[in-house]
Amino acid sequence: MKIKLICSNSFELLLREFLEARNFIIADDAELTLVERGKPLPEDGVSIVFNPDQMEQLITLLKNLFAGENRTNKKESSLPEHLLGQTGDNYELINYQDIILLETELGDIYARTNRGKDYRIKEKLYELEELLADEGFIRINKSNIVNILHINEIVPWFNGRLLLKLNNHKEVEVSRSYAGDFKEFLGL
Amino acid sequence: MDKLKGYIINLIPAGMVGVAVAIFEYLFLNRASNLLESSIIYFVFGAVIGTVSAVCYSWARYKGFSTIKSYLASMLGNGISVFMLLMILRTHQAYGWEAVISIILITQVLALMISYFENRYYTDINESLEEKKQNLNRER
Repeated sequence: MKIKLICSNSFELLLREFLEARNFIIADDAELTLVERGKPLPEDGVSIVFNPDQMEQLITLLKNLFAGENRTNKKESSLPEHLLGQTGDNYELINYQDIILLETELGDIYARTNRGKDYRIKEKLYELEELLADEGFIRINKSNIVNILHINEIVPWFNGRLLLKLNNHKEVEVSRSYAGDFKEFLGL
Repeated sequence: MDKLKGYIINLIPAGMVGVAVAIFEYLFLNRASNLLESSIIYFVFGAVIGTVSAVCYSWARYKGFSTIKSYLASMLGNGISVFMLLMILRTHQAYGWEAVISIILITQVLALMISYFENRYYTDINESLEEKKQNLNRER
């Protein structure tokens, strides 16, 4: 299916990546257009006007609208799953593999990535724990979920805890109450 | 409170080994010994040796020291703490410096054993980590 985009560059990149991963073609002659609020509406075809302050809503709508389009005989896209993250006023799709750590800070959830950027995530920690369970992510304490692909070293620590040295030179502790599940996750 | 609970959980098993030694001494070596006093002293020794050795090993690993240096750190920490305990108990006055050295040497063997098992745990857990990472990459 073809889709046309009328929006600012930062959103165009985001939407292009999202839509192309779902086998949509970005083309000027498309019948369906996604238009950023404030931009001129095309005269022909169907337009969806989105508010740039509520990108999550647009992404959710698109996911729901086009869920059926993905059930084709074609092989599904091999592109790994993504989370939608906010940095400043911009939204970006974050590849799961780029996320080193998810942590709570002042009530918000942040994804620390290997790109050197941090993103605010709208999902709750328990939702992420469930969503990412099969992607190599494991909860290590009340505030952190770590991607084991980005753990450099595990040091047995005081009082039955474990200290994790991560790729971004940060260290996090597996609390005693989560140490059992963590070791089970590793197959110990 | 949780940290305190953790410390207690770690200290008690190590200390109980000392109590077991005190009971052994009372039953088989010296019936005249004061079991309660011996138990307390040996409990403290056991707790100190067990905890200090493990902590020193962990700290050395955390700092990136090699296996040998981590063992040595554990033995050094153990040696210093046992020496201080013996000085507090005035062992050198009661039994002489030879006794002090003998006790330190014996506890160094214990410290080495503790470090050995800590190292096994460290190696096992990191090997499991690498295996898990490889499995995940293969799945992708």
